[in-house]
Amino acid sequence: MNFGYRRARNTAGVLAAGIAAVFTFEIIDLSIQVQQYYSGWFMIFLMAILVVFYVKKRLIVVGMGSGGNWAQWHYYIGLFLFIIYLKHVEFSFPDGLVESTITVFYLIVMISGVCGVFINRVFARRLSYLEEDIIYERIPVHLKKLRHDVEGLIIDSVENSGSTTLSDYYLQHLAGYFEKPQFFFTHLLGSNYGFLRVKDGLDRQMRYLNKKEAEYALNLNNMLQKKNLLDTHLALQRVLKYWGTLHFPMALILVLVTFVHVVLVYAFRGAA
Amino acid sequence: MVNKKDVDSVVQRPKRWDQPFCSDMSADDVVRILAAPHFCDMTRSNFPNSLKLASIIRNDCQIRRFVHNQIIVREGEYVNSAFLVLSGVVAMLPPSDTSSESLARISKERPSTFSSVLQWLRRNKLPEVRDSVAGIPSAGSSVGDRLIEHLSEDVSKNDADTIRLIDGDIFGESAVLGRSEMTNTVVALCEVEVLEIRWQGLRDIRKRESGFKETIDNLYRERGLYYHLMSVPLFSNLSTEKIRELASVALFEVHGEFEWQKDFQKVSKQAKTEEDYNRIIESEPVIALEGDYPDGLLLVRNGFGRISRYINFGHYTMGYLSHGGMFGLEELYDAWKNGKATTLHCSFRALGYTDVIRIPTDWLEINMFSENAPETTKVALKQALMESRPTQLESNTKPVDRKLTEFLVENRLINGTASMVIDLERCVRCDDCVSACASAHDNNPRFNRHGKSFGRYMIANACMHCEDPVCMIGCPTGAIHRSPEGVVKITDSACIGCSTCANNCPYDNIRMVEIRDASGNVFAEPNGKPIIKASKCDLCAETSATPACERACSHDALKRIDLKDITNLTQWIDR
Repeated sequence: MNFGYRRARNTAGVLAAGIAAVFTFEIIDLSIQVQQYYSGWFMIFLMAILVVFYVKKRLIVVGMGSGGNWAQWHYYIGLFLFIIYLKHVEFSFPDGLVESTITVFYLIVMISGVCGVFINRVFARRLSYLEEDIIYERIPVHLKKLRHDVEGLIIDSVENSGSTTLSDYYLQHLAGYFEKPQFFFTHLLGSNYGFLRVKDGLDRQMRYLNKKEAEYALNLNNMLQKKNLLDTHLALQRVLKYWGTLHFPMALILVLVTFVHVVLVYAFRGAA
Repeated sequence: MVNKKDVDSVVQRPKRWDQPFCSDMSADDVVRILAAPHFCDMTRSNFPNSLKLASIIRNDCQIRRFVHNQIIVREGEYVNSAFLVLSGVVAMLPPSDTSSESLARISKERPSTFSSVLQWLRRNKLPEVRDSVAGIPSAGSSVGDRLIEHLSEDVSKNDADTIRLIDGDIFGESAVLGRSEMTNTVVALCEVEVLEIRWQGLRDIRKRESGFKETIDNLYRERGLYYHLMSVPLFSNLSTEKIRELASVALFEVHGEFEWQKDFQKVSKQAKTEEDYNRIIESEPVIALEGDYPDGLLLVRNGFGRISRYINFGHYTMGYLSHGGMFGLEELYDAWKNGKATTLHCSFRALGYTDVIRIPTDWLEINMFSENAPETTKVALKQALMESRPTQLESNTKPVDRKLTEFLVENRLINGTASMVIDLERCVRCDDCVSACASAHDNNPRFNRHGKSFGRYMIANACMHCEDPVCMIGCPTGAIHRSPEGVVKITDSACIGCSTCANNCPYDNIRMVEIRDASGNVFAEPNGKPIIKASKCDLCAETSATPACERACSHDALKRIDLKDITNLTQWIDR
């Protein structure tokens, strides 16, 4: 049973369960009861399971099963919850202040979660295609060393070639490139356009360099490639690391707002 | 060097024998051992003043007492000591003679979930905090650390293949010298006194006493040969007499260097091109060469061997053999069947060091291939032929597996029994594995999420709990040792920070760390040099659950895999 088949099977299972749940709540509605009480508490139960995944991640010393299985359940329960949510709000956007606030938080959490799955799948794969794996925390050290090496190379080129063509070009066009990470969004989109423009500029300079300088320019070209690799890693890994900073806090806020919602619902249930 | 102003905890650097193997060894015990067989023949002047024989006995030995039917060591367990019978009689049971139930095998109990949570809540905020430089003595692992149980059946009645050992006899030497698991269970047949000599003491005595070394080495060869033959499935249906006959004609060969890691570290750093790799393969000790006529069947007892074929101008690795593997059966059988000489299809070379048992061709032809051989023998032969055919190995292997095999063998990663393999295509670099490792180890991660890569797979720098843990060879105190279950562990309190294990590890999986007290002050010698300790993965043996790194990964990207058998890895890849 391959990866794709398992995913298709599980998704189909969740959709079937979702449809079954929607029909169940519809029947509750038909029996002159308010289905929102049932679907609401069911949603809270599902949310609790989703939150336990976060607790499990923190409390690793307790053997609560494999993280991979937990993550799978998290994704599918998240999907199932969305179907229940649609039924809970009767497939419309709520109009009350608290309800609207909850909906906004819920949508942020859900969309950030879906985006997170996408980012995890796509960016991790793109990172694996890069020629070298670099630890995120070490990227600034690599960048600093590269900058130091490039500056050394340029000084050497001036001293040994007797010409300043390469160094002038470096100061005008490349120093900034090596100074800090570049083309963040271009790398996220999977494009090398920014880097190729810089590289192309250096290639065009080759005809104006003397023989010695040309040798240094080839080394500089390699350093450009290295810088591009570091920039790509930085961009992709930064997003992989920090997308969760939106999902997790929003999920916690959603839990709190849900609590307020439940209190208000029961406080004013007589009015219904 | 640590800045003096940062150092408040000035201590003396720990030394070997600060913590003896057994604190109960008295001067009288030492005198008694010196008069015991083997020891009484030793020349004391062979030992320097810094390493007197009496000191070795006092610090690296302990006397243990067992009652009738009590298990001393179990088959399949790893030991770090050899044993000398001082009084009484012990029985060395043949391999797999006793059922696992009667062996009362109980794995070590893990701490409860509650105590693990408590430990986690009390974790230090600072890295590598210790109460003191030494701590509670618990160096090495001895039989005392095991769960000693009694056999449920009386083995004294079972005389057939059991070897009885009396005063002066030695056992456990094969496992400790070969860094392999025990092939036999040893049980006390009456009240028994045994001297347990841990590896460090045994090593020092062997180095200085040629007579003792010869005795131990002969035992290693003779017993290793006999018991290995008994455990080979091909010979499983042979009678005891036939096995003895086979043992008398078989040859025990050792290829390569026992301390292979030094050469490997040197050449692997230099190797850059395919030509370099070809040269490395050619420099590996040849056990059997492609194109030669087979000179007997080769059985691997310890270590690893590379099966390769020469194609155009390069060596192509087809596979590898470890303990229990055999080489040359197909060619020998074909030659006998067709009545004409067949040359070897592949070469077989030692990776590091390899113990090999060579079974003569004529013995095989008479006892295994012949039409007169019993039916059970023919079935065993057919099965063995199916499993060991190099031609079949080649046709069954996918191209990706071949390259993977090459990578694993090239880097000697086949040594790992619990290697950390990371699927980079799924790994999101969240470092949950590192955080989980830190959570399980008092806030100190025990591995680096970095290492050698093959395509999308990375073998991270985490202790692989090697089949042949060369890191243990030079440890002066026994701090690094192997638990009976095969987990390579470091007893922190016994580590003197000599870095021998870290330097010996061919995979850079052991780190030396500066230790500090609870206030954050680094422990240091009076001259300002920080006290360091070896640190590495222990497979979360001290926590309530399985390895935290594997459990923590939410993306199914990390797995601890036994790479001795490549099928484990390919199954995970094909998941």
